[in-house]
Formats: sequence, C-alpha cells, structure tokens
Amino acid sequence: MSSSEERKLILKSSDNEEFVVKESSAVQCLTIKNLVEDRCVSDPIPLANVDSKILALVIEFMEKHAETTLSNSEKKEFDVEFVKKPFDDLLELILAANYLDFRELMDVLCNTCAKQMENWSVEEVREKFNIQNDYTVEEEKAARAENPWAFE
Amino acid sequence: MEIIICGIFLTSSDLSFFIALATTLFCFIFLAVFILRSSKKPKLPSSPSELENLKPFDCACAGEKSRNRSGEEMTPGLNCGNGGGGEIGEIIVERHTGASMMEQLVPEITTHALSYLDYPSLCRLSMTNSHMRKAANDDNAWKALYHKDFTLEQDSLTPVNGWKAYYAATRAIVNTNVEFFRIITERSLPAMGQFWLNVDYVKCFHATGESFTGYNAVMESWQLAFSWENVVDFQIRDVRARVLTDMAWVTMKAYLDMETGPFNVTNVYEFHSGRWYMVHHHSSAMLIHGGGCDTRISRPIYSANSYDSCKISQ
Repeated sequence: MSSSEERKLILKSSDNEEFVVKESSAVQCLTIKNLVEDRCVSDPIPLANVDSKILALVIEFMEKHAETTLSNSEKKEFDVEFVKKPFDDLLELILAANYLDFRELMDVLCNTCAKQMENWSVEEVREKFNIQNDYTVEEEKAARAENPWAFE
Repeated sequence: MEIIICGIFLTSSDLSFFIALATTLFCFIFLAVFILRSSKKPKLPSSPSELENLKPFDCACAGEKSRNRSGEEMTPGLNCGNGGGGEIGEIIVERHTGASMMEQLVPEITTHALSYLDYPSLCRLSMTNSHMRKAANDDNAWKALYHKDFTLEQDSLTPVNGWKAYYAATRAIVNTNVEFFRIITERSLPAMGQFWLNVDYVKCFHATGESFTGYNAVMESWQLAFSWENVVDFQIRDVRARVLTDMAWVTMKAYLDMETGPFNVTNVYEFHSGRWYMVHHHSSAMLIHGGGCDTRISRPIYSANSYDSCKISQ
C-alpha cells in the first residue's frame, strides 16, 4: 500500500465539527482535490458552506463511491437508497455538491430531483423550491401563454 | 453632480468654495450610502480560493441558506461571487428565513443544471417567477434539450425565434407526424381526409411505387389502402424534422413487424390556419442485405402479410 492511500484529511463543517476522511475518497470533490494539489491544505480544511449534517451525508456517499471493491450496480443500488431523503435535504446536498464540485453526487441528485419534478404542478415547484411568485397578474398570464404547447 | 463640481471651479470666493466642496462631499457620501443600501450584498464567507474557477455553477454561497435557517434576520439576495446578472436583489420569504435554494443558484444555473429537466419541467419552472423564467428560457438550455430529444443535426442553426420556439415547433411537427401513423393504423378515412391539405399539388408515393397527385386522387388511394384487412402497427424511428415558418419536412424509418422490412418515409407539411397539413408523403422499402428481397410489393405496404413483403435475411 502506498502512503498516499493512507493519507487522511480532516474536513471541518461550518458548525465546527470535524470529520476524518481518506484523501483518496475526498479528492472526488474537485474543490478539495485542487486544494491538495496546490498544497493549500490547512489542517483541518474549513468548509464554511456545509454544515455537519450534510457533510456527514456527503462523506458517506464519497466513501461508498471511492470503494474499488464495489461493482457499479452495487453503487447504483446505494444511490437509489441514498436519495430517499426529504426533498429539502436533497436541495441542501445539491448546494454542498456544487460547492465541493462533486460531480458524481451532483449528477445523482440532479437526476433524482428532475425525476420528481416531472410530476409537479407549477405551484408545487414553487413550494418545494421555495420560489416566491413575483409575477403580476398580466405577467403571469404572459408567462403561461408561452408554454401551453408543452402540456397538450 | 457635475454642476456642483463646475460650481466649485467657477466660484471665486473662499467661503463659497468651501460650501460647494462640503455639498459635493455630502452628495458623494449620500450616494454611497444609497448604493450600499439598495444592493445589500453582504460579503461572502472566505472559501477556498480555487472555488471561483471550478464549479459548474460557480456559486460560493452554498450554505447561506443553512445559516439563515438558524434564524438570521437578514435575507441576502443573490450574492454569489462573480455576480453575473446580480440585479436579482432581495427576495423576502415569508415561510423560511432565507432565500430559496433555486434563487441562490439562479444567476449561475448553467445549461448543465437545467439539462437534467425535461421540457414540461423546464416550462413549468419558467412559470414560477420572473427570475426562473429568465433562467428557464435560456437559449442554450433549449438548444441542448433539442439535441438531447431530437437530433444532433442542425447544430449550426440559429433559429429566428430562438431555440425554445424551435423546440416547440419541432415537438408539434413530430406529434403531427405520429398522428399520421395513428390514422393509418385506425384506417380512418375521414381523419386522413382532414389531415391532408385540400389542394391539387399534394402528392402521395406509396411503397408500391404508385404515385398520386391532387387531393382527390390521394384520398382514393388511401381508401384502397384501408380496404385491406390487416391492421398494422408502426414503429417509427430515426425521426428527423426540419421546421421552417410554414413548412416542415420529416424523414423517418417505419418498421411494421418482424418479417416486413423497414421503410424509408418522407413527409412534408405546410402550415395553414393555425395547424399543420400534410402535402407530401413518400414511402419506399429499404433494401436489406441485397438480393433475396423482392421490393416489388404488389399491395400497398399497409398490409402486413408476410409472404408479400420483404423478408429480412438473417
């Protein structure tokens, strides 16, 4: 085993909780990878935009996907179970994955959200994403008039 | 402001000079305060510097939401670092303290993020609020969706009304085309009569090689075709559509069943009175593996009797 396999990193969440991860798993996050490669690593690495709850989940995903002994279908099964979370958690995970530049996690999460969105009405989309409707009555009519072809 | 500055230079007496200077300074301060107030963009937390360049969304404000959820009063607007389109301003939320996650991403929602959505979702998103409308109507997003759903062809095009409109038009034509085959399967002559444009220049080339010109002749040929008893079900593949303002053509391959070879089909449509009408249909059997396939089908392709049709050689 080469020494880099055993190298560990400490990630610190925004609420100051520290997590130890293997460097080989953590570099799936390009943000962290670049820090390591540019030798800008302070120990622990502060992740100001990710809280501990979400960071724990990200690390769970990260470590699962770094395991070389698992087959792709096993990883897919894990993914399916992983995304069975409340929608708000998924959104927070997306923000974290974006911040950390963790493409694989981003992909899985975006696909899940996109699938769920397929069944929602406009009102539900607003509610789930907490989007404030700032249209006036006329604007809303105009916006709706652009789109009826999609719902025939 | 310029007037005040000019005033400073024109003034001769010391006292007036100082008054003017004081006024100018006051104006500057007032303006600065005004600008700061109206933008209300708190500084970003210091994040690893590499972040700015890397992320697909280029957004360093992930987690602003979680901080706000813990009860901070301030609702930051979209305060992502590179501020592309940063006029999005404040969004005051009644239920949660904190801007919505979508709106945090909005300025940097790239084609990548939207590319996960199907076209109804993208449309629904555009109806939620004005910011989402701008993001969801993004031309590149619709171009990518077009390439995903339809074809990679026409990549160098710049549609006159933008890619969303082009996508919508293509969707409409593809649906119309599907309708054509449904009419054949149902053998509905009235529906076929409605489907074609009632003019003398329409043409129909059946797979038998026979061709008919003019609405009446074409309708008679369909009547004959429909008189064959077998019901056929089509599988349409490789649909490629090119849509112009009032004209469109579609090429496709039609597969009937295991024994009948596929057909190359070309349909041309014209747009009149708010809908598409067929003006040209051309169908020809695809030669498979050279010899052994008799394309001289004595009956129109819409009968699926295997002994009459092309056998696919194994």
